[in-house]
Amino acid sequence: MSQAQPDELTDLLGAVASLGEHVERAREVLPKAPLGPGGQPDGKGPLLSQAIAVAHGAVLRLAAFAQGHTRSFPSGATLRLHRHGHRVLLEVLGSPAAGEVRAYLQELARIDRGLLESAELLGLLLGLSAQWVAAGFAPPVVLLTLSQSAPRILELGAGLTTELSAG
Amino acid sequence: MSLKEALQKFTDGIVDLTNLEVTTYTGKLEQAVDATTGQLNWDEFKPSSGKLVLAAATLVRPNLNTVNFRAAEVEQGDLQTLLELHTAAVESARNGRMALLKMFAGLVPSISGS
Repeated sequence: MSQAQPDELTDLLGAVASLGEHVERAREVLPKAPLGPGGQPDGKGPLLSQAIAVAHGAVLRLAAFAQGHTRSFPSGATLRLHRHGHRVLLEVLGSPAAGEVRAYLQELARIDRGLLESAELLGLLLGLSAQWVAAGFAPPVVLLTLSQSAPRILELGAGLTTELSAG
Repeated sequence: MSLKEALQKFTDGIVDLTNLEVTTYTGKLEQAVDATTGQLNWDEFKPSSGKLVLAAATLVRPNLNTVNFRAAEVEQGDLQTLLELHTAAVESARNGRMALLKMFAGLVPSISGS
């Protein structure tokens, strides 16, 4: 099996991250597009908006994980976890107090949990994104596929329990 | 770091699902701080630095065989604390790998076959 290329995957994730813009553009081009599975006017505006918000939240969780985690503490200690590809580098400067270490570990676990909870949703979004990229972000394709997948996106989004806050 | 940069860093790892490496360094704060700017100099964090010490390292091979290194002692900080942090970093790396595989399980054949 050949391997996916990083640039290709970054493009797909980028497409998910900018989903709101693509949908807005599609709506401008196709303001009255029939979107439902049976060609019905969709009436799913709020549903689509919710799906876009959930998708954006999942991408932010991925970004929070990917960018690693840095904290400086009152003791003067700094802890920094840096991720790059298959390498993880943890830097411990100074001597963190026990409570500071505990706090850092909790934050790290929260960020991990956010990604793990989002993985299935991100997989679904990447599948959609591959279709959008292949179709050149053609408005009918973006709106139809998103409309069809919105219930599942919201279902998976409902399972995200981890708070999305600055890491 | 922008969203795009973060995503780029993450996907850089997609092509290499072989080994997983986790390293933990420690040292005195003043050794890693630029005296002029007061900013941390992260370039000091490399094995050849001589200023910062490798406290622990873990290599997880694709067959899940794992090689661990831990320093016998460190001048700065508590070794047990460092090892606790290192273990958490390894766990986090494993979590990332697990999430990544879940995300791309159904996607890789569809885009690589196109």
